[in-house]
Amino acid sequence: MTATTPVLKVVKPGPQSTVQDLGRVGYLHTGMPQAGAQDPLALKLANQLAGNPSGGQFGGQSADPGPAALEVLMAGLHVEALASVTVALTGADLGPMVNGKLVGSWETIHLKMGDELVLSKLNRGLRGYLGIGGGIAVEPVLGSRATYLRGAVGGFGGRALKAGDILEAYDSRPTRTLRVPEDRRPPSVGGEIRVVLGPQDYLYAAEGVDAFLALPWQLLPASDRMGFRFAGPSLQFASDSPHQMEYHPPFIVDDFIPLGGIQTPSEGLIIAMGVDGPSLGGFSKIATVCSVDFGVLAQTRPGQQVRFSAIDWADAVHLAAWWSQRIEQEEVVVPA
Amino acid sequence: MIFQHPVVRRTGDLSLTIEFGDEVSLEASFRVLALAQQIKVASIPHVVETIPTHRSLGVVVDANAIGTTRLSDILDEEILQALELRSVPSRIVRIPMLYDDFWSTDCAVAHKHENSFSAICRENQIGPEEVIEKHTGTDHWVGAVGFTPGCTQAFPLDENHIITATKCPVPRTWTYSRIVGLGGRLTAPYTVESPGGYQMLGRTPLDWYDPSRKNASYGDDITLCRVGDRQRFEAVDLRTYEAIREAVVTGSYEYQIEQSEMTLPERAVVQDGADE
Repeated sequence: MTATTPVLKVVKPGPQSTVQDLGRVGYLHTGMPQAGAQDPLALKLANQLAGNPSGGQFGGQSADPGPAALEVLMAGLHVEALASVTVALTGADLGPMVNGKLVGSWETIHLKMGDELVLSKLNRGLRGYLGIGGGIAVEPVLGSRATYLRGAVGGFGGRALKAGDILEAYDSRPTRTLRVPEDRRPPSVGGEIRVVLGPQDYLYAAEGVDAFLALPWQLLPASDRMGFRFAGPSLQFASDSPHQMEYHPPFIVDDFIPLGGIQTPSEGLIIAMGVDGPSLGGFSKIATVCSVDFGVLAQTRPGQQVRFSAIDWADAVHLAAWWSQRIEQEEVVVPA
Repeated sequence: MIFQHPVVRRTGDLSLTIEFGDEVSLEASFRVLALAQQIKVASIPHVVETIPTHRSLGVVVDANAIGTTRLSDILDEEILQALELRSVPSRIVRIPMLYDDFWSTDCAVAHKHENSFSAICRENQIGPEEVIEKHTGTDHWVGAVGFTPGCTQAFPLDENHIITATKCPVPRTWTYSRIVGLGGRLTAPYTVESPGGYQMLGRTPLDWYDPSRKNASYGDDITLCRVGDRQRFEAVDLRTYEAIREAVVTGSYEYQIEQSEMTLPERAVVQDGADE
């Protein structure tokens, strides 16, 4: 067993801060969501900047979820260093301040004992990832340290952090100061969301698929890690739906829901499934968000608009592998 | 219906889905289980897991590691090779139930909904006792697991024991955990406190999933039931419910699970042959 050290004390937890890694792979057949970071590429880079390994390919068979970090929803987190510790904030720009002075996001931060780190302001995006040197030390559940809040599974006692919690980290070595230049950062807020059409795109009229891809969608406030709800145009179904005898779209016989699957439950409403989403459901799914763009879902704020664009399945697979390899081979981080 | 040829559907870059039809039936379920078994036996590299549902099999894959072209070829071959199973291992899991319980009543009142149990009686035009007789009088086939951890969807195997329920027009924002609901003819438990629209039949003292695997009855599983199990509901009174619940919480309850197998009725096999 690796030694652990208390490194951070939570002074204020912010709206929702949870321990996350790349998630619990291989349990969707039990109904257990993968959980883990909603913006997996930002988590990987937060780890790398904090001197940690970045974990395996997201959703891949290696199932190496990498070290655990904090997923921080909006500004407000305030922690005090209980020892010298290396951290880094990626994902959303939450105005990180050390002892009252602004410091950079997407770069290594060296904290000394007694230093206070405050995420002061929501400048851009929605979810920050605070990598911690050595990785957060909590007991893995089914191979992962990710928190699944609704099931009270994993992470810090299955719950979000509270004031007074003390985070321990596994031992780490001192690390160089690194950063991720702006032009090398993974897809985030403002970009379009790439999808692969299917599994039930054949149930929609051509006009329905066109409207889905051509028109803007606005993220609704009732969105979370389970599902991202968007308001937009009504999507027309095909008049003669093949393969649907008992049910009429949007209803289908309950079917597997992949991560990022986009259900269209009612007129003008679609739901893109998040990492805490269900694996089974009875609404037709027009498309599936490419895993490289899960970060765009994570970082879009309620009220903001997105557009969806369709790419080929093989391109989506290559895109995911390309990002994973670039990060793995340390081509994204540079010395500060 | 069951498709003549299963269809491979794209579900993003992390998985594929093989669809066998658009019906909830034992025949469709056996097809899904046959392919799941075939993929397991073939131990295809880079397949992370398979997710059986009533009429489709989700396959989580590391598509990049295996190569997208090769993956398509391999899956096509496995679909062709999947045997038509006539019988599968199928456990019988006994589930004690407190029917028409006061938690369900409380939950309906809190949502200003009609009492679920009354709604079920009305819809099926039978009394409370007959609802219980119908529901406990047949085994229910688990055709899918999902929605929440350990949540099963099961349909009655005996057509003479079917009761149905129209889902609530406005779904509840929460439902007590371990309440068991009816939607259409499917029975499904709320394994954790969650929103939902199934009409509430009753509440079971059993836990449906346990990631810590503290109870020996779970074996290597983290869920009480899996696809291909049969559920046998048994009506209990409040006193028995409470005694079982206490035993479940302390980890001393012995879940009543019987190893068995299920054979596809002859009728279904003949129908299937006629299609081809």
